[in-house]
Parts: sequence; C-alpha cells; structure tokens
Amino acid sequence: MLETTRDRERTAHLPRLGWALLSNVTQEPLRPFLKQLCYDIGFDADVWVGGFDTALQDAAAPESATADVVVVSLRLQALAPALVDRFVALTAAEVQAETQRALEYVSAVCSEVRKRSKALILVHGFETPVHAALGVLDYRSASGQANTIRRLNLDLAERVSRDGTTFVIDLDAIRARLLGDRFIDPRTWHIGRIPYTRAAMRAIAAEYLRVVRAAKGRNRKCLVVDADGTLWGGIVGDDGPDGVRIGRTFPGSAFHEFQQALLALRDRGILLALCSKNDRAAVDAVFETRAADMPLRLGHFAALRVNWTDKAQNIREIASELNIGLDSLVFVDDNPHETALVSELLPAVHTILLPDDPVGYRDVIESCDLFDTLTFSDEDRQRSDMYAAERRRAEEASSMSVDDYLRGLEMEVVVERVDDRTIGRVAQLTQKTNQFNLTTRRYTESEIRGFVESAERDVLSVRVRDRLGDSGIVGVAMVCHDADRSTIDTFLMSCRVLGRGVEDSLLAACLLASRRRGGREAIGEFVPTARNGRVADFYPSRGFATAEPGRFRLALAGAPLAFPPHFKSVVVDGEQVIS
Amino acid sequence: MNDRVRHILGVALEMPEQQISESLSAEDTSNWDSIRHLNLVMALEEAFGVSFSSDELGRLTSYRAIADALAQRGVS
Repeated sequence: MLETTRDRERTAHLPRLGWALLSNVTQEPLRPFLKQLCYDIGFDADVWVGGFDTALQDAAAPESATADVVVVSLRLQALAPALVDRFVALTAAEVQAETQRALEYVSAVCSEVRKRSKALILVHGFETPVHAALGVLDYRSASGQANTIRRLNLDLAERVSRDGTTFVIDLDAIRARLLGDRFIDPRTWHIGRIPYTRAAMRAIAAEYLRVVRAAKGRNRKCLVVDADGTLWGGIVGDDGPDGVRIGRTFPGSAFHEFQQALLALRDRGILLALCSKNDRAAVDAVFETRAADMPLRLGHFAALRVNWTDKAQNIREIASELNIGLDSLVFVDDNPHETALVSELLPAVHTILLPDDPVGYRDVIESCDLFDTLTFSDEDRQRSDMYAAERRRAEEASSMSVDDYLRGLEMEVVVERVDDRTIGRVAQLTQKTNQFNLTTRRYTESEIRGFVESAERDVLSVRVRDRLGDSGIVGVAMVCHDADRSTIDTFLMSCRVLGRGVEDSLLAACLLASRRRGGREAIGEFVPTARNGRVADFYPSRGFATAEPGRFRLALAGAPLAFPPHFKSVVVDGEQVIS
Repeated sequence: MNDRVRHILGVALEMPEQQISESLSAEDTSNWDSIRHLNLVMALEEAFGVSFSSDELGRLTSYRAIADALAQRGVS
C-alpha cells in the first residue's frame, strides 16, 4: 500500500489526479486504497477529504472545483436516519418527505459541484437494508422499507443521469460481489463513523477506478480467446467435433454459458478474437457440426488465428490486423503455459487464466472490470459488424489497384458540427483513441459541450458510409480561432478507416472552417505519446511547415482544400463539396 | 511478529518505521489520532487474521498493548 514518504517520492513524477470526497461519514480510510489503485494505472492521486457532514459546503470549496473526480457519498443512516432506524413508525407522508429530502440534498450537492467544475462525479447509491423493517412482510409491499429505498435509488439514478459525466456507485452490487467478506463494520461505525470494512473500501475504490479508467482511455477493447478447453470442453483434435463438450446440459452447459457471456461482451462493442493452436479445418468443423449447441459463430470473431504458431506472435498479428494497441487486449486461456508465455512476452496484454472448474468460467468474464465505457452508442452496438465488413473490404482490396478499390467502395463522407445527438460518441472517441490521435486530449461530455457552445471554436465530427456498411462517426477535430489564426488542438481518427482519405477530408474541413472565419494561417499541434508515433509526420506530410517542435504552420491563402477525389460524395456543414 | 507490527504502525500512523519503538504509545504520539487508530486496528486485523471487540479496540493504544493482544491470540 502506498502510504510512506518513500512512496510519495515514487509517485511524484506521475500526472496528478485530483479527488474530492464529500460525505457524511468518515472517508479518510479510503485514501490509501485510492492512492494505490491510481498508482497502478499511472496517476498520483491527490485526495482531498471534505469535512464531516458538510458535503453541500464542501461542494463549493476550491478543492472540489479543481478535482478531476468528485465523490459524493451520503449514507442514508446519517442523511435520513428515520428511514433506516424507525421506518415502520413513519406515516406514508413522512416517508415521502424524508425520501424527497434525501434526494434533493444529494442532487443539490451534485449541482453545486457541477456549477464550478466539469469533473467526473461519482454518487453513492443508498444501501438497501439486509434485514427489512417489517420482516418477510416488508418485501411484498411497494411501500415497504426495502422497496422504498430501491425506489429512492431509481429516482437518484434518473436524476443524476441527466448529467452525462455523473455516475452511480451501486453499493448493493459491490456488497453482493464481496460474497463472504463483511461489508459493514459496526465497531468502526460506532467509534469513528467509518461504516465499511477494508475489503469493502478496497472494492468501492476499485469501482471508482472503473469509471476513471474508462474516462482516461485505459480500458480494453478486445478479448482474445482460446478454443479447446475454453470455448468447449475437450480437444477437437482428439475428441472430434462431435466429442467436444458444449451444449445445454452439463458439463457442456458451463461452456455454453461462457459463450453467452462472450456474446454479451460483443453486444457491448467489445471485439472478440479467436487464437487457437489447431488445424483450421478442425475448428471450422466444431462451428459447423455443433452450431445448434453453440451460441457463438465464427462470424462473431473480428480476427481469427488458428494455426500452430506461438500465441504471442498470433496476438501481435491480431492487434495489428484490428489496428489497436496490445494494451487494448485481454487474453483468456485455460492453459497456464499459454497465459504465462503471453504475459512474459507481451506484458501490455492483460492475461486471464481460467479456473480449473469450467462452471466458474462465466464469472471470470462477467467480473472482469476492464471493458467499461462511459457512453454506449449505436456505433458500439454495431462495432463488431463493422469489423466483419472490414474483413470483406480487405479481401476485395487484395485483388485490385488501390484507386479502383477506393472508388469501388462508393464512400460517402459527412463532416458536421457536434451536437447533442453525437456528443456521446465524440467524447468516447477522445477518451479511447490512442494511435491516430495528434494531441491525445481526453474530454468528458460536459467539457465538449463547453467547446461546442464557445464562439471561438469549431468542433467537427466525420461520418463515413460505403457500399459495405456504415462506419458511423470515425473522427473528431477541434479548431480554436483567435483573430486570423486557427489552431487545430484536437485531431483524431478511429483506426478502422485509415488509408482511405477520410483524415484528409476532415483536415480540409478544418481549413475550410478557418477560411470562412477569415483565418490567414492554420496551426496543427502534435503532442507525442508512447502510442501515436505513426502520426508524427501527419502535418508535414500535408504541406504544413514546422514552426517549433509539436507546432506546424500552414498559410491558408492559396492552400488547396484537398478533398480526395475517390469519394462518392463529401458533405461539409450540410453543403455538398464533392458529388 | 514485531517487524510486521512495526511496519503496519508506520503505515497506519504515517510515520517512518525508525520512529516506531516498543515504547510508542498514543498518548505521546501526535499522529496517533482516533481515525488513524481505527485504520491501524483494521490493518492489524486484516494482516494477522484476528479480530478485536469494540471494547478492546479502544485499549490497543500502545505498541506493548498491541503486541500483548496479538500474543494472546497465538500470533508469534
């Protein structure tokens, strides 16, 4: 645990992540857990704990205004004790008044924070009672204690979710996941108003970090799975496609559930890839002859490596085929030698060794908290299908000239201003894009809303559709105008459309926006990171001159607006540029 | 046991380990406040797999008292 002076020196060089904890219980003991978990993902957590039960005042404090993450944890026991301790003695009107007051107070704290800050806000839900007030009778009544507090949680979620950057921390779910470990410690509660055990605090801090990781682009995008012993029981090479264990009944049902969990990940927009030491024909045979027993199809995988090459090499190829970094991958296998090899050779890949008993496989996937995103859009729903279309594009491309291929795609490109409809996806792209990202500035929805409303800025997104499918929003640019100079301070593209000229269209649209405002020169910024080396030459290769390291200049007079000619149509701001 | 106790005391009270002697007590240690005390007890319980009653917990306010209570529970 990070608590000593030496540890403080160790974290000093890391970027700071400011936290403000606003609460009506003692939150100090959470600090070391937060510091450790933030250190693990490369941040130096600076944790400010507000006063005891002064959340509303603390929300207006400068520490809350400058924090990156504000946690609002108001325990019902202290906020509306009658609801917890004497529920049965309350009249319906009193229950209504108490719940309303609790809800209004939490909302007031959140809006007070939001007035001054675009921070991530994490709001604790209320704990539902383990022993409801009226015993077994309680649960059958909609106005019982348990259901009243559940409804209060629903109202809270409904209320805070109007703000795109506020998230609910569900304590009941965390408590349930602790299984045998105790959640509440009555001793520390009575002596020091510390409600939670160390196990609980560790789990609560870990839950906060899920949101932070998603906001900082540290989450994983693709799950690579093994086949034999993972997707089904047995070895297809030995047992034959009819002999492997998969289906509705035990023992195949454990693998069936595991496959369902993988499909559920795919529904969320997580890519699946298959990496198996096998003959391709053998694996194909299982997918064909056992299709009725299996939820998964070969077509569900965005990439396939079924061969006898070592898995580290195969996983490298999968990452490059999908155009994502190794640190976006999770690898799951039942063979400890394979997971050991991959974690040794590719430490950036997160490896998971499945438990000995396959009935535990499903939980491994469901409890994996590395796939969170802060928004969920149609692009996520369709991502895997887009990759399938991409595989078809690649197959077609291999048989003709690049130009003919691009023309044949009949691409339609639309550059437009970001609005409420697209802001979620745009925020997500700034949070997730690592490789084709010139400045890697991460933004939340509320920050982007601020830019959209600002008169000095143009915030543009680009959508692409072609004969083989709709790729949705694949790029974002932000241009800041100051007198006759326009600075492109954010420019990023999803890697799945690179090499088709979409990035040139977006750049041309930025220059067009600048020229329309009377701009005379454009500045392109580049901030190097460990992962965006491939775009270091982006601006120079487009005619920009180096002004200083990381800043490139282009005089707008006479600069051609180079919309690539192979598109079927290009629309900028509702205006047809190419048709 | 002694080395681990010293380490846990240092971490929970946010003090360098060299300053943790066997004569340390809450009375004359300004860092040993009530919240850090609870942190300390929770960390001890977790590290040694023991548990103290709410009554007893308030009396573990010196190095000696902690070492004795752990010894009583068979920690060596």
